[in-house]
Amino acid sequence: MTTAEVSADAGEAKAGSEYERERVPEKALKGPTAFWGMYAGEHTAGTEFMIGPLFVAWGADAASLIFGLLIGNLLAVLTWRYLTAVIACDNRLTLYYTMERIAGRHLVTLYNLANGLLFCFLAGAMITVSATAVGQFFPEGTVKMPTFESTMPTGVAWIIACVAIGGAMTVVAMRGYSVVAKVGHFAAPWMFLVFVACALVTLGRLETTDIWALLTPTTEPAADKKISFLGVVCFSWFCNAAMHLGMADLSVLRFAKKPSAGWASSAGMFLGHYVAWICAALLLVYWVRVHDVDPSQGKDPGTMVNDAVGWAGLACVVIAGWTTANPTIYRAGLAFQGMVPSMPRQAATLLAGTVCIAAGIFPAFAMNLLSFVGIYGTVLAPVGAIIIVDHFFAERLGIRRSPAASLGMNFNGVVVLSWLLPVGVAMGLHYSLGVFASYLPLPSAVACGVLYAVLSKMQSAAADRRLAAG
Amino acid sequence: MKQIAMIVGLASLAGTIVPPALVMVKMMPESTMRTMMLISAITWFVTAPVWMKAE
Repeated sequence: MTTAEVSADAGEAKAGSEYERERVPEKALKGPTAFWGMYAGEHTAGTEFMIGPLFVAWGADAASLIFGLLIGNLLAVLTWRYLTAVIACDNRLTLYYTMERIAGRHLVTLYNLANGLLFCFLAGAMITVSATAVGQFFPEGTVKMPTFESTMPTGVAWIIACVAIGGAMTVVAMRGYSVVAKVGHFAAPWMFLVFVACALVTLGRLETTDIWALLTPTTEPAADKKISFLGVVCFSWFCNAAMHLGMADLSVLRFAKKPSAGWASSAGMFLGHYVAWICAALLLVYWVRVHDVDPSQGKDPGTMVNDAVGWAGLACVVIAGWTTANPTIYRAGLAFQGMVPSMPRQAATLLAGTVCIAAGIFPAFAMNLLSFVGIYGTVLAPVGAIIIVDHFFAERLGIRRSPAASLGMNFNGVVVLSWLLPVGVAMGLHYSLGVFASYLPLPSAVACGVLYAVLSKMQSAAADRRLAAG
Repeated sequence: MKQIAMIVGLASLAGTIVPPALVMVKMMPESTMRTMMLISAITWFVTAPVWMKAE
């Protein structure tokens, strides 16, 4: 299975040809190699150049970055392996069809809206990162770069850069993205080495290989520290919560011969979300120590990578952003098309691309990536908890499996309540009390699962009473 | 053809990571490293599609 096909499956791309509404047959199952390559490629993205430096800006210490990321990424891999991959290989159905059987067709529309919008904001962040690289090709000052504190566009040149990059990405996504997906597949090992190259050059300039000392903040650990050890663990565990705990990767892993394919996620986690994040963090450490850059203001990825390794690095930033934003725009388009099936896919992709470009113009999304991915997980992970209850506990608890399918419902109110109540509370905690968003996906998912079990039990009892009454 | 592309491709990966390592230990100037990394990047994207399976 090519990366393109895997990604396309995730977005229900090939209607009528990729088993969207049936179990994947034995003959279509794939060996583990495809999954290792796919995960390695998908998780070495342009946004990794933002996340590492943002950790530094938030005052993460060496222990958090070296051990916290290790633990969080390990927990993410275990979630993929022992929840997502197990359910995927048992049922061999897409997330969307699984959801439809539990929640009803109309409710999947609501899920598509949430999913599509969040995909757009994520792709917007990737456009922002790519624009910082493109700006380096113009004379200094032509394109004013955003800082970590920027929320608004920095000028007309910045807007033009984002529109040009986002427009090109959208046009390619509208035509289908298999070529870009192939480029992403080929680029993965090279991109990873460019991250390491940036770190090596930085270590040479700082004349030390003591990464622990470099990652230890130079300022007193006090007011500026915005993220703790637990925060780093939770961030790295849940930054892809929508994919593992939220079960979006059912659509990919349903093609796996065995649940052990879930281990392939470790390629993405430990190369992209461990080594690459630490390498990217070292770039900002250099600018803080040598150029006296205020860590809270940070430095844009394009400038840092260009300074470290030159044009090859800039190409890496653009390609890493492009190859991950492109399928994301494509998936967002498919999610929108799922809401309005009569809309042509190209029109839906154009709509998604326009939203992505609008999001990319505003650096607020990229610069708040640490919070945004937590919100992304908090909104979508609870859906996975419902699938977990349906798969593992329904029979034990005496509730119906796939209730919408078995009772002929188009809209399962129990799912709406179970999903939106915990998400509403979590959003309240984040926006009113400032609770770090990455702390919220797990409690939201657990609360959603418990609510779903209790309400479904009541729903099943009421349905049984109605059946008994005739 | 595939074997030649693979050897050249792997050499270009080496050309991406070895020069920065040499810069780190002060055995190569940064300008040379930048040029080598750019040439290696172009070489990689030319050769990888020839031998790397897209599966």
